Amino acid sequence: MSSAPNPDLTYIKKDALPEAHWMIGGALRFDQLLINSLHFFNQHCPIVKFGHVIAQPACLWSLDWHEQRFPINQALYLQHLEKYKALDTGVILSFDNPFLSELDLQDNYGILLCQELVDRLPKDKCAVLVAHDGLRDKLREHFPQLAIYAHANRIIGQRVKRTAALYEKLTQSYDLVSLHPADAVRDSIIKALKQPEKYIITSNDLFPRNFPLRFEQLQELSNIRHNPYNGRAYVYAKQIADKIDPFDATAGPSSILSVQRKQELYDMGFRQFTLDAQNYRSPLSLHFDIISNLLTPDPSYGNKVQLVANSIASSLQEPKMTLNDGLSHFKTALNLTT
Amino acid sequence: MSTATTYINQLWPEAQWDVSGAFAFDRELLHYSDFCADKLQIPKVFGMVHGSPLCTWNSGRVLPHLQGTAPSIQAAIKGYADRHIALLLTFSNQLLAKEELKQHLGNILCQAAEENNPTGQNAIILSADVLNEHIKTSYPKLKRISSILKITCEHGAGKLDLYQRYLDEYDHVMVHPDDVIKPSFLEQLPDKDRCIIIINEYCMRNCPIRHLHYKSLSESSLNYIGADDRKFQKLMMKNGCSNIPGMLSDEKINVLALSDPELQRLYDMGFRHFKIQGRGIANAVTLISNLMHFSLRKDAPDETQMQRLRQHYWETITPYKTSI
Repeated sequence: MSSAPNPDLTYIKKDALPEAHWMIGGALRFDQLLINSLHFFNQHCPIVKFGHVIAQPACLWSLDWHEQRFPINQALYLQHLEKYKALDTGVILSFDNPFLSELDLQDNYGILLCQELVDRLPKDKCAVLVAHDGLRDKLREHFPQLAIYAHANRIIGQRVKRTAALYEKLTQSYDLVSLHPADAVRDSIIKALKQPEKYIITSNDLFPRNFPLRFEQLQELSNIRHNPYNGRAYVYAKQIADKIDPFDATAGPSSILSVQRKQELYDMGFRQFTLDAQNYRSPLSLHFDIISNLLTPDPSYGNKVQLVANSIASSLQEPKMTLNDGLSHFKTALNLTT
Repeated sequence: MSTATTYINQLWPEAQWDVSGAFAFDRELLHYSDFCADKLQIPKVFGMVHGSPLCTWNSGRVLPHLQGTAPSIQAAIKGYADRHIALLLTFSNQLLAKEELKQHLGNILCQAAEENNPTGQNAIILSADVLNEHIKTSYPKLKRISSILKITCEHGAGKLDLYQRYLDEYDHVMVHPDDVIKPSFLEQLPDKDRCIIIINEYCMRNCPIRHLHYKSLSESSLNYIGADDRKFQKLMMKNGCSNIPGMLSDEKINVLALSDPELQRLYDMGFRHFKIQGRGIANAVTLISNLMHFSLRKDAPDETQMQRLRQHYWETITPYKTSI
C-alpha cells in the first residue's frame, strides 16, 4: 500500500478544537482500541493526536465500575507503558477513590506503579490523577517532579458547594483540576475561573447532569473495593447504575457536551479535555467518543470520518487463519489464552 | 412521549434501508431492530437485509465468517420473518454454469425464502443469467434484483440503455458504484424507486479494477479452498484500493462512500432504496455504526441526547470485558 506523501488532512480537525489537549481514558482496559487508534492516526492522520491516555490500575486507590479486576502484574504493566511510550503518548495514572483511610495510604502497590511510570516516561509524558488530598501529599513526597492533577471525584467525593473560588483554591495544590462534569455548563462558575488552562473538562460523562446519587455511587464502589465480599454494596451500586436511563425524561439533560458548548469553552481558553472510560463496559463506546470528539463534525466530511472510524474498528478483530478450537469455551471461562 | 419521528433521521425520512449482514451479523441486526422498536418507537428501522451463507451461488463477499450452520441459518431466517424484514439472498456469482444450479444449499435457501416471506419482498440478488432463469421458473414468488456485480462486469456504468434492459427484466436494479457519484446521469434514470444505491462503499471512486475484484470473488466462491487470488491481491496493492491517506486527501481517489450532502442530493432526486454494505468485515461495528449514522437523527431531542442513546446502545449490546 502506498501512502500519499504529506497529505493535507487539516479538514479532518476542522471545528474540532484543533489546539485541545486530549486525555483519553481506558488504558489498562481497552488497550487494543487505544493502541490501534494511535497507530492509525500516527500512520494516516498525524494531525489527530491524543496527548495522554489515562490508565486506572486496579488497586485500593482506585474504583472499578463494572467488574472487580485483578491487580496488574509488572510484566504486563511495563509492556503497556512501553507501547504508549513508543507511540509518543503520555500516560496518566488515575487513582479515583476519594475515600481513603490512613491504612489505605500506606499501601505500596500504587507507589511501585508510579515509580515505573516516572522511570520509563519523560517528565512531560507522565502524571497522576488523584481524588484524595492525602494521596496527593504522599505522591508529592515520593515524586516531587511528577505532575499531580485533581480527579473529578475529588470534588464529587466531598459533597461541598461548588464555586469558582473552591476550584481556584484547588489550583494552588494541584497542577490541573478536573471540573465536576455538571459544572462545564454552569456559566456562573466557568466565566469566573481566571485561569481556564488549569482546568480539565470531561466531554462524555455518562450521568445526567443533575444526577443526585454520584456521591453514593462512589461510596458503594469504594465499599466494594475494601470488601469485595460485600454483596449488599454490589446490589446497591447496580441499583444506582440502573437509574442512569437515557430514556427517562425525568432525568434531565445529559452531561455530554454539545459541539457548540465545547467550542464555547475552547473560545474561553479551556484547553484540557478528557474522555472518561472508567464507567464504560464496552470499548466501542469509547471508540465512537474518540471519533466524535477528535474528528470534524462537519457532515460534508462524514464519509471520510466514517472511513477512519471503520478502519480502526475493523482492525480490532482481523480475520485470522486458525484451527478450530474444541475447548475455546473452557479457555475463555478460565481466562486462558493461547 | 417520544415518537418515531423524534429519532428517525429527518434528512431522509422515507429512505428504505437495505442492510448487509444476513447470516453474518444476525444477532446484532436483530438486536438493533428490536432496540429501535422498543426504545425509539421505530417499528421497522430497516426493511431489508441481504447476505448469504457461503455457497457457490454466493458472491460479493467470500469470507470465513460467512460460514453458517443449519441452526444459525434457520434462526436467522425466522428472526427476519418474525420482524417482517425482507430477506435478499446475495446469489450474485457471475460465473455460474448450468451444473451449479443443482447446488443444494442454494435451492434450500430459495425454498425457505419463499416459505418465510411475510412481506412478499424476499428476493434473490443475481448476476448470472442461468441462475436468473432458474429462479424465475422455480421460485416465482421471489423478487429478482440485478446485482452490482452484473452491471460492473458488463461495464454498464453510464449506459442508460443497459439500465433500461435491466429494469425491464428485474424487479430492482443496483446502480453501478461509479454512477452513484454522477447526479446528472442519475437524473436520467427512469423508475428511481426500483433503483438501489450503495451509500457506504469504502473503496475508491472510479476504481479501475472493480470488475476484476468481483470476478476474483466469484472464482473464490466456486473454489473456496483452492482459489488462488494472489495475482489479484498484487494488483490491488498496486492500485491503491486500500490507500487510506489517498482516499482521505486526494479528490481523484476519494472514498466512494457518500457524505450526507451527497446522499441528500440523491434523496431529493427521488431515490429511496439505499444499500448499506458491511458483511465483508470480520466484526459488525462498521455495519451497525453506519446504519445508526444514516437511520437516526443526530440532533434531537438534542444532540447530546442522541449521543447518550448511542452510548447506551453500545453499552447494552456488548458484555463487559476487561480488555479486548
